[in-house]
Amino acid sequence: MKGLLICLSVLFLLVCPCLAQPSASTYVSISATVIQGIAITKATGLSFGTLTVGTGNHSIAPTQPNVGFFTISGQSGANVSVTFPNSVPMSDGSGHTIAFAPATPIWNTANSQTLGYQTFPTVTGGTVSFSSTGELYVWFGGSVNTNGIPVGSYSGSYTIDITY
Amino acid sequence: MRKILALAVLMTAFAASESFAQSGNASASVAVTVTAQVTVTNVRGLNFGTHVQDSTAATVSANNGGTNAAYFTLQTSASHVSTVTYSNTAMTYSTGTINWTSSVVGSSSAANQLSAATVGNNTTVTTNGSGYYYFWVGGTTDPITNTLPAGAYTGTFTLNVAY
Repeated sequence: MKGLLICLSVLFLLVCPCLAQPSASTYVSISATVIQGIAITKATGLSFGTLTVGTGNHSIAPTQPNVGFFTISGQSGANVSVTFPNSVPMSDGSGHTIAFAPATPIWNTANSQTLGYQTFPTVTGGTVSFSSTGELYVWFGGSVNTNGIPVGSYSGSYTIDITY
Repeated sequence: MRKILALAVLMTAFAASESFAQSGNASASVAVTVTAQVTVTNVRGLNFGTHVQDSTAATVSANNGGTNAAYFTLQTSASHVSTVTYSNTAMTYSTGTINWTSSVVGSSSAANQLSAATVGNNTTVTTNGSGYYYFWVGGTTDPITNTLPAGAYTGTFTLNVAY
């Protein structure tokens, strides 16, 4: 019996240090913020209609009806940087080009060109904000000059870039 | 041989008790192993930052992620080899879940985040002469799709060090 006890004691001494080994652990928080992507849900072009050659400059203000229009959705309340071109070439497809000179666009968080709109800081844009429900509306106009150009149908692309 | 030795011990003890029945003393060995404390401190969490729902993954490099990478310190005995295990939970917000995989690097110098070596799960690290070791944790999320609700997602990363 004592022989058995001696054996058990030796066994205990061998096992005990293993049970006593310390360890430590801790955790940290992991975080990410997901925001809604930017989508241009509507883009309406600007048309000068039919103009007569040699009649000079023709302008359409962004506050007029039926101007160029963008409807944009994004993260509610977020600031975005918006950029526009300061000149847009318009081509007749036959090697002739005229310039569209944009006016400074206007923007609003509600779909209104007359109430509560604001003008962008410059013709090439600036920083604006989405509405509390994630909407942004932009209107643009500009001018073309018909002096000294060939008769034809001219078109070009006015591009809006928006980034958070 | 073991039986003979056990019998000899038994006989000696019996004889002794017969000779000194009113008093006695004996000694036995006592053993204990004392190890240094292990302290793991979380200095800061991992921040994937703000991400648009554009179906791309968010990534923070453990080496190059700067203060966006999580940071842990280990303190125990000097030049000691310890075993490291770790795990993480997915980040959640509302009905959304973002799974992510971690990348862990470590160094015996707090200044070596950029050149710290990969620390695999269930591998060992060696503390410096002052008993310290440093971990940085980065990671990569699954693609952030537009099916995920916009919001602030949180999860956890747990680092365990066994002496």
